[in-house]
Amino acid sequence: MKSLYKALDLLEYIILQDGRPITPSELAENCNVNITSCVRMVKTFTERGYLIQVSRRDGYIGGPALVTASAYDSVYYRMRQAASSPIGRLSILLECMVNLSIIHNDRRYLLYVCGQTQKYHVYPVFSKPWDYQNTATERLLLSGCDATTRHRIIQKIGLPEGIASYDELIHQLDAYKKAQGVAFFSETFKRWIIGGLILADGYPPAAIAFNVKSEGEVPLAIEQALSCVKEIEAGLALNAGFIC
Amino acid sequence: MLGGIIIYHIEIIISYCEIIMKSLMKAFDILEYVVLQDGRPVTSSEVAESIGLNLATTSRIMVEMGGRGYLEKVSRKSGYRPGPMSAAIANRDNVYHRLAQAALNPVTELAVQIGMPVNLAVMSGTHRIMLFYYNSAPQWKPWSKLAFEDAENTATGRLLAATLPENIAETLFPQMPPPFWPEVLNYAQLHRELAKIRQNGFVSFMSEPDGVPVMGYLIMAAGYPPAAIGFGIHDEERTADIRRLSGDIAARIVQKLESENKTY
Repeated sequence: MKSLYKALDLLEYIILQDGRPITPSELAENCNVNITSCVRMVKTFTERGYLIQVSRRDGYIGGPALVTASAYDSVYYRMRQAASSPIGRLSILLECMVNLSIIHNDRRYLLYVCGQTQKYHVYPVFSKPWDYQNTATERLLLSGCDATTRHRIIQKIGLPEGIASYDELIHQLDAYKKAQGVAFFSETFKRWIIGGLILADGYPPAAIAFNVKSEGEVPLAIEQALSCVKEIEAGLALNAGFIC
Repeated sequence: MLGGIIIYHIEIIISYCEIIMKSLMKAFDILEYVVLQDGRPVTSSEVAESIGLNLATTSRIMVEMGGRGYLEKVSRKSGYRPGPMSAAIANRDNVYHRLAQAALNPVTELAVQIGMPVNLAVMSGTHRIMLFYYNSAPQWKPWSKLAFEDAENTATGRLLAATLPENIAETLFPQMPPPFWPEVLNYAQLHRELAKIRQNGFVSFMSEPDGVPVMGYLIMAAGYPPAAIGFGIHDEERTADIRRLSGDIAARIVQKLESENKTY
């Protein structure tokens, strides 16, 4: 198990550099893998098209097989396809980064993001530890989970700050699920955090989220978030048979 | 003595690396098999049998891939399907992602208009990889692999071969004349034909042995690797119209890529 996971650590590290070439030395240092193994692994990834070598000096970047592997029909491909236009328009309208995430194996995975800039960009990981306090996504995803998954995740992460009891948390989550949305001010980021919960039959719960600077922007942001959610749900309900 | 010990340890590391590489290759074979089922869940038994791996090894690797999100277990009975990581890995910026994004709408439009699948491909070493495709023909089945070595019998194969250095292009045509391109009698003629294709940026020929007319265009945009779109034609009366339409589509993709590069 360790060797496969180490190999995936290397691949994901390179992918997460968003096109910046990486040398085997940098990989070895950052992924705690010996240089010989790094060189062999990246060569294997390159042979299979998951990486390409830019040059001996500069190193490697993500290859075409990464795109191909995600282009075949799957639940997550359809979710991304259904969400890309609505999220794109939302991102342009509100002039902010919007992301789409789901839960898998009790972790949040980012499926799609739009509107990244040099200043505002997503975290450099594919899945991150829970941060209920500061993210709309995690609150909404937890609200959309079944009771068993909720309970298991809450046992792992504990009660968030400001929530006195398990029942109070469940009550809050039920309210989010009913509203299919959330808006709150984050003291950490000093921004208003807005999110929408996507619930579509045959698909795992998903959430879109973004932030706005001023309280004055919040009502429009919530309205647009909910509209975006409905559009994505409608797209998923169509279950377009022509998707490849 | 010390030298002997050092050599021994290096040999152990190399052997260990070989084991890891074999394991990694098996993991890719498994992941790609699952992905290529287009969302249909598959069991470890099916995967093991289809790709010729030991069942215990296959099951172990599928559990491990599931643990990292590349696969997702639907149920014990149905098996696994692609997990969120299979979508997430394509979400980060890279030239291939941008190529696919730029081509998405135009290729979809073309596929719908001509009623046939249209694919966008690039080269990765000496393999042709389908970046994505749009299928407008419900009876059509997707390909059974991610990467292809043949070049002579597909529009994208010939187009992309035309973008390669001569010595590498030759490796894609090991037999001379190529069985499905008999007009090419020797390598000198091959290079002349490929040069013509490169200059025109276009191919159209009868793909054998099915006898399906195929057509394609090169996508050459500054800052991007060469790409090509390819498709079959089922309504031969529309060939001229389809040629014009697909040429416009290819130009639109190039324009989109080059305009994005400028703002970036």
